[in-house]
Amino acid sequence: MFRVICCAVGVLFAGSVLPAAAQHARLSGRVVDAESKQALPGANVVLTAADGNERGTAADEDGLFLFSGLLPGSYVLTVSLVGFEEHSDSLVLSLGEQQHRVISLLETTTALDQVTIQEEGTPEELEGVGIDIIPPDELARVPAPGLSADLSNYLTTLPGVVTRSDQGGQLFIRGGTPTQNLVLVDGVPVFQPFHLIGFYSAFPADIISHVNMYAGGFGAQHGGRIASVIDVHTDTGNKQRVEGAASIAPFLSSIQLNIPFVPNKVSIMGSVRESVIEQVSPALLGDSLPYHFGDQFARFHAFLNSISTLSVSFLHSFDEGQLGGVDENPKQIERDNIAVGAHYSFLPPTSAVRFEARTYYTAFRNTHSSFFASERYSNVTGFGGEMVFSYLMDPVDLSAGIFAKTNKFNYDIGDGEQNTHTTEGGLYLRALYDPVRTFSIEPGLRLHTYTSSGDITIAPRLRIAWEPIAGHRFTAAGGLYHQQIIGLYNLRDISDIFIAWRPSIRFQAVPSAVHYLGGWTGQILSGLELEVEAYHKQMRNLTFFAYNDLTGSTLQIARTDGRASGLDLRMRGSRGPFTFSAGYGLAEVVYERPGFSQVGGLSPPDLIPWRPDPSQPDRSSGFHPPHDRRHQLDAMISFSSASYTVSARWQYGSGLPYTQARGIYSVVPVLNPNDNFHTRPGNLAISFDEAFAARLPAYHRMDVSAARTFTFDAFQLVVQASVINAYDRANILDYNLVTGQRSNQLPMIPSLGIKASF
Amino acid sequence: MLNGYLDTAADTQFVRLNTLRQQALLDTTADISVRSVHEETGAIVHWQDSLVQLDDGALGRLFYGLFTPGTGATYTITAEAPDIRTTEVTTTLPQMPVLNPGRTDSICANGDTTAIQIIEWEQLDRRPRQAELTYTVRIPETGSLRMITLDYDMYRSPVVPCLAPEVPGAGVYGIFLEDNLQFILNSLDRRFDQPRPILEGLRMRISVLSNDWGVGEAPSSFGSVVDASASWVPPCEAISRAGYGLPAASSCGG
Repeated sequence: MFRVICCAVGVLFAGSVLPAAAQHARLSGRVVDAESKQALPGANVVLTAADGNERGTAADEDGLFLFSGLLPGSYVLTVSLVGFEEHSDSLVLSLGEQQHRVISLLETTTALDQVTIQEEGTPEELEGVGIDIIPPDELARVPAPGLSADLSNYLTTLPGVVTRSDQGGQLFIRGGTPTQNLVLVDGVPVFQPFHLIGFYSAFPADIISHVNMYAGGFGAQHGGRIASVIDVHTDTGNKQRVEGAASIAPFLSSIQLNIPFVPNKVSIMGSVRESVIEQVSPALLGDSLPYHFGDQFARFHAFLNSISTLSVSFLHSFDEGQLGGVDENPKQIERDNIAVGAHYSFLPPTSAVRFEARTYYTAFRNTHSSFFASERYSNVTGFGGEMVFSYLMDPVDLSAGIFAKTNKFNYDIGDGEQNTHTTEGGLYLRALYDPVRTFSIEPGLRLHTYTSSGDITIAPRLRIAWEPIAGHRFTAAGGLYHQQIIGLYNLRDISDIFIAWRPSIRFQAVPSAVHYLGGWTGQILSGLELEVEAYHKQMRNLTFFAYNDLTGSTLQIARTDGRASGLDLRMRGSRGPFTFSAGYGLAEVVYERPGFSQVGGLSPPDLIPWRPDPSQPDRSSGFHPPHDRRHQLDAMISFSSASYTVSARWQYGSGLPYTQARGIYSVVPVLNPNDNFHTRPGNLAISFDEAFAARLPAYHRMDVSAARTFTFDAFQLVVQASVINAYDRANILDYNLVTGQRSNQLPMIPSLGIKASF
Repeated sequence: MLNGYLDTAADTQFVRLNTLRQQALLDTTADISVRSVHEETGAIVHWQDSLVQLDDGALGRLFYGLFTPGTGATYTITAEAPDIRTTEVTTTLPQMPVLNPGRTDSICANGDTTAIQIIEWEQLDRRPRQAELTYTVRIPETGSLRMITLDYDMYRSPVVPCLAPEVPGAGVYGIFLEDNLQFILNSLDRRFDQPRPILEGLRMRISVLSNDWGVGEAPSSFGSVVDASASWVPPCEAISRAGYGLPAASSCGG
């Protein structure tokens, strides 16, 4: 394996230093915002030759683009991006000439007749099935309790994204579990990116440039997770002037600041948010919401010169809170994330290769304690790096990457402290072939080694896009995915959100999944777009906790196979000042009855939840896990004018599976004649019915918000009023079987927020 | 669910009843009946209901049946209520072990040290859970009888080398007459140079658990126990070699 990697590196470096053919010209450049000098990733760049031949590409995350192998002659360069005025320029390239241009786009001030929902992606990305490219202004449309628009709140509007409640910070994406999602911020993995309150992630909209959301079928550049990838790219920072904002609201207050450290070259951007809901909820709601959370983010970004950039990103988030449990003895959860990473990109002047290097450190800690169980904790740290070489040659773009990472685990889930680590590495190849603008194919291959199983996995990936009629695109995607490190959590108890990260079970195959996706996107009317996507995922070696009900806290690790299938529909459009969207998801997730690994020494017959009830007729071999939401509907409408914005959102989800309890009983084991069973009280235990055979009531909720913007010379003020759960629906969160106490999800919460920005 | 056991040494049997309920405390007023059936004969005993105060102050339900179970028999205890699923537990009592008189007179010496008597319980296919050995001795000076009891589990009765090549069965015990003498003297507060107590006899009591103990459908747990006892007098030679005073010649085993 080491020799293969060395040879691959040698070939890639050899290609990078070979000069382009002498008779061909080369045009490279960077697209930036004319005012702030921020890079504009995703800008559409088209080069038209005198004979009418066109070549197109899109600016990368640093705004860079490249055309190589050009014949000498006259060209017209056109650069466009939604929200900016189109730029057009003519140029002449002579034999072997290399030109580099900085294109500054002016922000448009005219209202758009039609909102273009999807932006052009980077050269490596094609929109279509399984991919959403989310601009930050989309995040701001979703009603939220406060002025800190957030990625998490937006993601829950997408069909196929399920949450079990509005608390906990767990997203289940197209049948996958939260620990099967890879969340990246500027290329750095974050283990727990979502806060305890479901409206918030560690990524406020103010710091986001765009988000690439892959709900399945993602390419070979991503690996290590089997469900989805949420790839967050933050702003590169305003390099012209100081910007800032501060907001205050009952849930979350925030401060952002951007400083051009070296004008036009270096910027430093930062954001701090912290919750105040624990202090204000008694007065606001008459009851305490025991949550304290916050996040801090900072990014250093530098244009080292016209062809290279360097950035360093830092993220810290924390959560403390009590979910469910008994009033006097709640379940206490504490979580802490740190993620730090550096990214360097370089476009050599004499080569058709773009080079990128990344390195990162990430750490996550969570603890869980309750009256009824001893404290559990899980700490995981990761360190990794990657080098990527991209050959940008129309009509084929090639990317090759080499990566390595190591993770260290320290945890105690009730059976003693465990310390272990994993190492993984590999390489990937991707090609993007688009012979014509209406067709593209993107094959990929990922080679990955895992220390836990001792295996080398080869994972093919493929994406095809075809636009036979203008405005109507068909896409298909699929691939094989693996995951070495796993996050174990309590499948049954919704208020137990503790996650134990650990390596996959030693010497057994790692969890894997095969994705099949297909879909169509098209304009059905002027200003109205419809998107239909179907998916099927076959999952193997899934791992989760199973509990021994008789003894309470003893854990076993169960392994099983599963599948997820679904159909997602999404409609978006606008008419004048109104923007609307609606999404519907139809899905089914099935797990097989698990077998058990004998971790902890218990044998399978001790596990009561999975033991068949002899009084019941024979059941199927499968069950629906607790994130199997059969129907999900989300509808949103917003009105925007120069000064006012009003939004309303209604969401509905059919009942989630849960395990019904038959009742409580006392356990008085009699193992020998000396056991006193006459007067010994025994221990209370809960008798459960068939696992996840019952369904909770449906969930629905309406949120509304209204904002007024005041614009002054030096600053802007926004005042927002909102109501979450406007008709105060009592959506169940948790039910304590011993005390009979029921906990509900968030009640009706009015809030008022103010934000000042300059 | 039912928790308890049948005991051949008792004329009243008990079982603790627990019900599946929606609250932490047990409903002690629910209409529940308990009966036992002797499977071999079909004889039915209806058990009586009683309330007991548990160690934590709450009330529990304890049913009792007035009968002595027979060894080797199978009993099914059933709890029934009009609106609750019937619960049943079943236990098969072990056979009554019998001390083999043909082995009580076997003696051997473990090398050149201890005088040991070998005894064997028959109709025993498992090691008893508990065994007690009682020495009955007479004080020479006063003529009074004293009884001293020792726990005689596997620790006190390991595999005896002088039994080779025989493989000892579950009911084979080595009675370490000579080793136990020091314990006897200590219990009687007698010195080694004083006249030795006269060994009038031995009595052994064993408890044997049924095979279904702890095996039934959880969370019910039920089983049964058989107590057996036997008395004998070791051979005069063994008594003498072990250092005890000899009883009347006609009393010795042999």
